[in-house]
Amino acid sequence: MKEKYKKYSFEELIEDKHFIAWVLRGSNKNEWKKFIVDNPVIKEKVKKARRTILLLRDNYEVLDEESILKMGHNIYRFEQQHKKKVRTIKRRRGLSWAASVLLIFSAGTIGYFYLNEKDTDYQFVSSENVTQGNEARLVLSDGEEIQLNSDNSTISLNNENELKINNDSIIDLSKKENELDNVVQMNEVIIPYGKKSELLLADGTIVWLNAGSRLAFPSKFTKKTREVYLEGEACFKVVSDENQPFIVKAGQLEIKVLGTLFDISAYSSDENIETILINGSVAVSKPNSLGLGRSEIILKPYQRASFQKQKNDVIVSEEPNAELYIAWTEGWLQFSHESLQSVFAKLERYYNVEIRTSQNFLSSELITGKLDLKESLQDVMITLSDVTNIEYRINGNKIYIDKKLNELHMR
Amino acid sequence: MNIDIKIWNDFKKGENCVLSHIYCQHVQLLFRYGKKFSKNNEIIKDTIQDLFFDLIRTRENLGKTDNIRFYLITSFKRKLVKNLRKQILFVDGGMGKNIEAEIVYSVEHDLICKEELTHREKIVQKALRELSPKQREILFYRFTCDFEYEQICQIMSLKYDSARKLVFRALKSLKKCLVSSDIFLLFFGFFPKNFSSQKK
Repeated sequence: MKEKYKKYSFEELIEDKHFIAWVLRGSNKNEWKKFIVDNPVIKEKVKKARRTILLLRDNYEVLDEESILKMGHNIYRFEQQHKKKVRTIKRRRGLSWAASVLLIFSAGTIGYFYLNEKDTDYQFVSSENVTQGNEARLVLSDGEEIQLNSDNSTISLNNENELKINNDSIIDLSKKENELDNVVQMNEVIIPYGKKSELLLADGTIVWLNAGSRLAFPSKFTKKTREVYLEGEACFKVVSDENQPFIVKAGQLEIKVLGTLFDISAYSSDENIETILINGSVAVSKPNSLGLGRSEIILKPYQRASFQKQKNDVIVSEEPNAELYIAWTEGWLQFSHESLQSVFAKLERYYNVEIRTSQNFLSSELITGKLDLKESLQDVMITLSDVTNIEYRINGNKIYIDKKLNELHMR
Repeated sequence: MNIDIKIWNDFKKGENCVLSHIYCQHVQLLFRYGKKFSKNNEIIKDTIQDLFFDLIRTRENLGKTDNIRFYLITSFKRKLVKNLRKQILFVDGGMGKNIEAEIVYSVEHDLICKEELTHREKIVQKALRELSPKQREILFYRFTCDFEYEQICQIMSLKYDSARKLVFRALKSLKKCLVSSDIFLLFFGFFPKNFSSQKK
């Protein structure tokens, strides 16, 4: 404790910030107590000053928890919307820059993988599992592979046939010109676990491609419909064009769009293909059981269609928290009453790790909240173990999960 | 390094969670402060929300600050006064009184609720009543907001000397009324045990 206080007057004490902090907020409590014991002369003055400050405490009301949450929510929403707006402006700027570079990106020579006007099913080039290989890559229609070096790559195409990667590398594809115009060439983006990518297609449609996914798309949409092929999860923001519907083919399922924002999760390892619609309208169609024709279901915003691959059945349900499903496009992983198992499955994909639970691990806990995927896996696991009853151990790219030991004895 | 500078820079860079941190840290104080100027909770809440919307909108162009609380309180007061003026003009039909902080002390509040006051209590009440709204406002910034005199002068558009004088006078009159009559005994409950035990 500073010596100067020994000589302080009543007024000086009241004017002193440290003194006020002690009286009102209990800062350095022990030091002050000791100081008073050591300097009994000051005791009387301290007492008076202290009481005066306490006498001048204002009468106030506390804002209720509900209002705090509501306002906080409004502010958060406003921030998100604002960020989106800013990002769109930036993206437009990027595009006009790309246009001035004038690169030709057109159909390549006939590869062993192409799609013709007949609706034959597209086969992904890389027949092996997406999870293999550690680098995100772009496979062009002539078979050339380009590594996407960033964890969050961006690829943009526009209707002038220009292609740009990560806003810096540019590939000269003019030599790969092809004379056979009636054949639509497909390019493929392959994103392994632990990465993601954002694509701007030739028509202006934006696709966020999640970890462990691949998307096949033409460099130009010349057919009657705009068709892309998906395996894994992607969020689509489709530019509306009634004359040329946008169709996503995911396994046996087809999702036809007229301009909308929606998310499809079609991992080959999952039992269901999930389509979640945020706004606009989409038609989900599955093959009829006899293989003759297709049956179509129209989704409304905030609805989810679960296609059960085994039963060849589509179940539609309301999904009031539809936004949760696209939070990953912003680098968040959001959960609403989800089981730990399902959270683990998602983390495995994002961080490209294997999560192993101990043999008798059973948890009925449901998790609501969000995780920042820009944080390290370690940080995310700390957050998760703070809110749940789990303990974890990271070993290389395996994570072992167990119940907290002392959990049974608590409460 | 001042932690507020770092938080503020992180916020300007657009890092996630910083805004909600700032919000959670200050929303109660802003509300408490707002209530000094108006009884209308809705206007206060709207103004708080507006304040944060503005921060988001002007995020990249915000000035520097090493004291977020001061920054928020100052802009909040400016906004609130503007909104209250509007309300007085349109709802309460023009001719409004000046907008100024009305601070009531807990002790005063308790005494008002009491039916009969003891002699000592009357002295306390009288002493506190002598404090002007301005004096109360300065003391609020000093005690509750932990502001420097320079900052207080900026908020209240006062000269440094007059602010000091106002506080000095307030303390002097309080000391005179209260110290002479051992009035402090009244407020025993406020003090830690070691103090009361040292009495006798």
